[in-house]
Amino acid sequence: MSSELLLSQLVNGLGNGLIYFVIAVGFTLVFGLMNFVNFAHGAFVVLGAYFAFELLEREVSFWAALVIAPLLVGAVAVVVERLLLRRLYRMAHTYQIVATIGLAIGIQEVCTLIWGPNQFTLPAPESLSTTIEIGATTYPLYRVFVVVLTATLALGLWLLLERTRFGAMLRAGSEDADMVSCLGINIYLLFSLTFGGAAFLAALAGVLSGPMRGLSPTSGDSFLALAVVVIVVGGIGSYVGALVAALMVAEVQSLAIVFAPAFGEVVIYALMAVVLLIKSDFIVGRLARA
Amino acid sequence: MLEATSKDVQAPAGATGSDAERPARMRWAIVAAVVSVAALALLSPSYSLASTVLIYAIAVLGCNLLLGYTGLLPFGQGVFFGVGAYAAGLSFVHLEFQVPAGLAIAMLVGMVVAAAVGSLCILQRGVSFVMLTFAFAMMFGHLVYVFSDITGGENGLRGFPGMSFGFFGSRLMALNTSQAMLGVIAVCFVAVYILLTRVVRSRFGATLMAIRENEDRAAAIGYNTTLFKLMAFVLSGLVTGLAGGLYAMHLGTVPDTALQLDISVTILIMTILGGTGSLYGSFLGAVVYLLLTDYLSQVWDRWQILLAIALIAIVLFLRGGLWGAIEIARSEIGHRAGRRRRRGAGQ
Repeated sequence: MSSELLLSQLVNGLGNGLIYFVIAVGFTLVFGLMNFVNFAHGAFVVLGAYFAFELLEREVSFWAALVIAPLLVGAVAVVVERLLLRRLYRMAHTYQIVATIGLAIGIQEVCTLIWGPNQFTLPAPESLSTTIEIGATTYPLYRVFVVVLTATLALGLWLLLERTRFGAMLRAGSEDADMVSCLGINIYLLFSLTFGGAAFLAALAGVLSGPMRGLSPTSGDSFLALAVVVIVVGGIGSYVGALVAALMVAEVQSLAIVFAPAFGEVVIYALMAVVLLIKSDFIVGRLARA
Repeated sequence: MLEATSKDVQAPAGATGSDAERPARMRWAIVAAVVSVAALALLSPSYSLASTVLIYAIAVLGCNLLLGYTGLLPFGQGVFFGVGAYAAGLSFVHLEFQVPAGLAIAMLVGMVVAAAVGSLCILQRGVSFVMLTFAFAMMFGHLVYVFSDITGGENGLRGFPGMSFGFFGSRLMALNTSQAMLGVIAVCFVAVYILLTRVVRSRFGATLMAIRENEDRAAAIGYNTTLFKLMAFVLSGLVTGLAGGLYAMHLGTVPDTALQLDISVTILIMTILGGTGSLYGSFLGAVVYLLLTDYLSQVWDRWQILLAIALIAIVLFLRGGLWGAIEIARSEIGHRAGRRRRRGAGQ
């Protein structure tokens, strides 16, 4: 095994990790603010990629599609939230999960109906279809672009949450939505915006993944699974936790591809199980008592 | 006013009745199970479809024990189904096991995997628990391909011998007709139905329901709720593993889809559709789901769009599922009859 391969896998891990973060952070913010579990989150990722696919077919440039497709998915999500999900907020999580599974199946099947069941990839824009030299290894420029864009996005999101009035409302709403509502803030508008924003981020991740991996209508499950592993490892509702966990999960995945290719898909679940055991009282409590 | 008091006196569904009442109610459960199976065998379009319905009904019963009685939403029941199917399949192919032994292996492996997965999942509560069961379902789906030299990978597990019923190498009966298969599956279904009916009416079942209603309070009374949840998990794994073993026996192969997420989702949907208020709802859920999808999938490739709409409609309008609808109808009829009686008495 060469050190070039290792280096390029580590950089791959960085890019993938940032994409996982962009997916997971929406799921976790929605849960934190609305106490709502969205099992259709993975379907929004796929829907974003399909919208971009359709836009590219219609001669729209990649750059425009990168903005328009997520906006469209965000709009779809806001409509769904207004019409359907709003009725579920006061229900038990079981029913939220069942309804959003229904939503995910619906999105998956409508995508199959319109675009067919086959796998597809998005073409990377011409200007990024080259490679650059990193140390001794050549690396696709598109992946560098993804790292830069998602890292900027992560920073911007952090500033949005920590330094703006909207972020303050969102954080306050996560603490106590009813109280924030009593302070005269339109909590339902905040819910809609957050849900739409989460779907926007998911769809953006879908478009960005398009040139790097194949997608099909059923890919939603694997994106949801990645988000779930990231959230379990990082702790639900935590921004920094999601970022650290996403990078960790992706790097472990990348290293597994180098050292044990067969287990590439499985190893992240092993990581999840280990983190779970470490975090639980089962071990910590026992050690504390010993 | 009268109605309210009479309702209060009635024992809630699933509660332990008086000792004298219990054997009689048990007998009714057996009659209901046997009559339903017979009706299904007669009315279903084919014996094979009836077998599939009963196999899933067993798995749904296992899911209902967790969702309906323990208050845990399991997203990974397909794991136990799949490992049961592979365990039985491998024992048929490599060890030349016959039917009861192969099914016993399926139950054992289902139980062991449920103990392992369950002990990790119940470290978390609520949504995190659900996410964990989902993640493990995805993980086992990948494992099929990691160990493709054992599982057969995408081709599925092949090379099944002709199925037969017997003990320790002596063949008592060949299971080469769909009637014989259905017979074995029907006996297993009735057995599981009776077993779980006994379980949910026992002290153990009452404790599970206490955990469902309020876990903290159950723990405060002094129950080791983690242990009870794990025991429910193991029992559910046993039942679901049996369903998987029967699935392998019925198909004569184990397709790679047996351990994929779709099975988990299907089992969960059937459980919700049937309603979690009673075990009989699980049977209803499997029957209605499979008979409808058998018909719809021939008519429209994208029938799952209707499934999606149905799921959302159930959550919005019929959270008790089909069993809930029956109960609403029953109380409605009861009310009408009561009104008529009172009117008759007044005249």
